[in-house]
Amino acid sequence: MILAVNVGNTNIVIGCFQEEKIIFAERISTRQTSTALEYIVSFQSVLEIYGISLEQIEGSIISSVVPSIIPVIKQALKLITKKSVMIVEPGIKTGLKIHIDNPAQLGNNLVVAAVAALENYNPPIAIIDMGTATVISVIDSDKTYIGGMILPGVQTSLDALTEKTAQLPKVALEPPRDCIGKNTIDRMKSGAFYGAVHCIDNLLEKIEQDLNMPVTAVATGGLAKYIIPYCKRQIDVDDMLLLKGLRFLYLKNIRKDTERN
Amino acid sequence: MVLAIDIGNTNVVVGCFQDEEILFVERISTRQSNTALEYAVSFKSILEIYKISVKDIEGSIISSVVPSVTNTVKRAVETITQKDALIVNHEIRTDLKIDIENPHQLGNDLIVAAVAAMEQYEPPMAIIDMGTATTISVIDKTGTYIGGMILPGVAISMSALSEKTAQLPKTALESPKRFIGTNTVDCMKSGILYGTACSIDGLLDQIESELNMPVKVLATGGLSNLIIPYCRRKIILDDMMLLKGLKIIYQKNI
Repeated sequence: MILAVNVGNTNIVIGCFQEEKIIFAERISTRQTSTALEYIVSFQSVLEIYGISLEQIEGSIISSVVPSIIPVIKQALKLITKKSVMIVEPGIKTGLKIHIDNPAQLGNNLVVAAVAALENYNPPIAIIDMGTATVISVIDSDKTYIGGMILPGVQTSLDALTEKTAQLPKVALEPPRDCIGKNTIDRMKSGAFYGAVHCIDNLLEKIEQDLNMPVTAVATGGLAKYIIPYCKRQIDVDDMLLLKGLRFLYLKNIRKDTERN
Repeated sequence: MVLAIDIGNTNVVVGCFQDEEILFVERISTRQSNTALEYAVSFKSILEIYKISVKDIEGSIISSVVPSVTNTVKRAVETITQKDALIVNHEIRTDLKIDIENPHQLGNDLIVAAVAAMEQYEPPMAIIDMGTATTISVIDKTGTYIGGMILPGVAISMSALSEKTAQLPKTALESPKRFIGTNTVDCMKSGILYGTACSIDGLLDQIESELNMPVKVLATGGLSNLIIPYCRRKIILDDMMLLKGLKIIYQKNI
């Protein structure tokens, strides 16, 4: 079995693969101050809950958009699994062609998602990752990552709205009764929810105009399953895209890694 | 001359009217902890800068979405002008027909903008106010305010993005080099500008299909000049909409 760990700004997603099959995918909160021991306890608990013994874990891979946490998570995984831990970082073999100003600047999570998307879909592809940020990555017909857009995440901006105003309450991110809201809560729900839905639909349309061809759209990230079903376009939702990409990268690099060790 | 003051969550906008003419519009920061004297000093400085004598001010009107600041600013204005200031609340006469669940819950700023819009354009219409929040108000063909949407504002969303992530920098709200960004900062600029414009276009389309008729669209608020040009739809920009609305309400109530 392989452990795949994706560290985001809000959540750490931990998934366990037996071959192609995902045995589990769970989330813990990202805490910059947590120690290796605290992550060990969380990881061990997850494995216990699913009845997986440590000897079954053959290796692990981490991708992170929070650089300061990588050493702690790496240490935690190493202590649990007693095996070397692979990190997604410049130098790892991805097979992804990247054509942006500075390829080293590209977020690891975007590389991982792009690799997984290219395994599963034909380019051109737009990948929407809806987490703390909403990131849209564009892969052209030549399988090249050519850039994208980064938007404030839907929940991130909704929280900011309550924090920065005197009279607006905390509301759940869900569709309102009416699109034209008749009370403050429905107005906020409509704005945040339908605003996000239209934003995605119209940005995808603009991307297609820019590329001058239709694209396949795939969405992932914690919020995708709530928002995407309301989009008018056909967009596949795959919650497991990043974990799949991590497994793929693990397998692509394990031989190289073993040779080096 | 009439002083019109619009208290928002981020800025207090102060305008001065001589009949129809706007003599100045200035912004000061909204600070919940400021005393009446501190606001009075700011107002006095503004009047001095524009060489307006206090005797020329015949009255003032205040609209606020920050209840805790309203009375402080009222005292400040009254100290300066030596006259009672009008406050926009649900008892004041606006002649705006409102059909929502609880009309008292409707933000004063939205009422003021709607009054100004109704004075200048034929309904049905949608009014977009882009400030700390981005609000969209819908007025149906009978001139009745029937509700709308509230979205997180552009600047607060952008700030939250860099605050809540480890690797995204604080980024200026300005045009990206291209739509599909090829570096982090351009990706953020493109995301916020095109993303917001796409939200607004889509919400306006949805409003029109809900009402089953086209609407005239107006936009105001500090960030509208930046975002609205990226919209596909035709939208009329009017920075002064709230001040104009305040002046109309002042005259209805004096």
